[in-house]
Amino acid sequence: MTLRERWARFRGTIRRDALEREMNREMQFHLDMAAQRNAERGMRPEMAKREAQLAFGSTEQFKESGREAYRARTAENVAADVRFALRSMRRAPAFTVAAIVTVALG
Amino acid sequence: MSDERGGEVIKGTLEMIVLEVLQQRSMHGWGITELIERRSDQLLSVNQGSLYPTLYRLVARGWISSEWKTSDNNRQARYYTITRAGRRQLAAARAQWEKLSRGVNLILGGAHA
Repeated sequence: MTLRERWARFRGTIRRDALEREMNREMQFHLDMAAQRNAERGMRPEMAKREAQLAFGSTEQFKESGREAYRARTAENVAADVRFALRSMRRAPAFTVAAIVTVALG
Repeated sequence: MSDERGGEVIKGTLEMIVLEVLQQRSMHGWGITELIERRSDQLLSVNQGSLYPTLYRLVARGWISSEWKTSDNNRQARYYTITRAGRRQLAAARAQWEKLSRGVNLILGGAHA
């Protein structure tokens, strides 16, 4: 693996970890607020928490949807970059050839 | 949820409702849940299993954006804000919904052939 590839991998991991952490935090906030409302409606604390978790549903489903959206966003960016690159290449073919040759030699 | 409620909001409709709710101000997921229940006079209940997937989908489509802020009770929460593209989508979805509900009502309320 080149240094560039290692760096790209590393950055990807950092963003994924941040995503997981944020999703945990968001879910916890929601659960706490729901439990609080349950308690205000007269439920005992353990019941309030359990009801909140039940109403929230599957943690895995929640997290998977976040990961999917993240992947969709990322894929969209790549597609946009590729389209932009193709347009640029069509406009300046001589430069493109030079650039490709340079990179290939490098 | 109990049987008195109208039932869970269907996916595509939930997207439209979330956009509508966010039209006036930014909110976190819990706030959105409560507001939908309140404004629908408890007729609608949000299946929380659907809410966050919906929010994340809306973010992926660029119709809403999100940022972390301090909530009213001094905790960190993710707030969602509608974007300009989101407002356009909301207008389109509302037009579609009005056509759909008008069509259905005509059939339900129409004279028997």
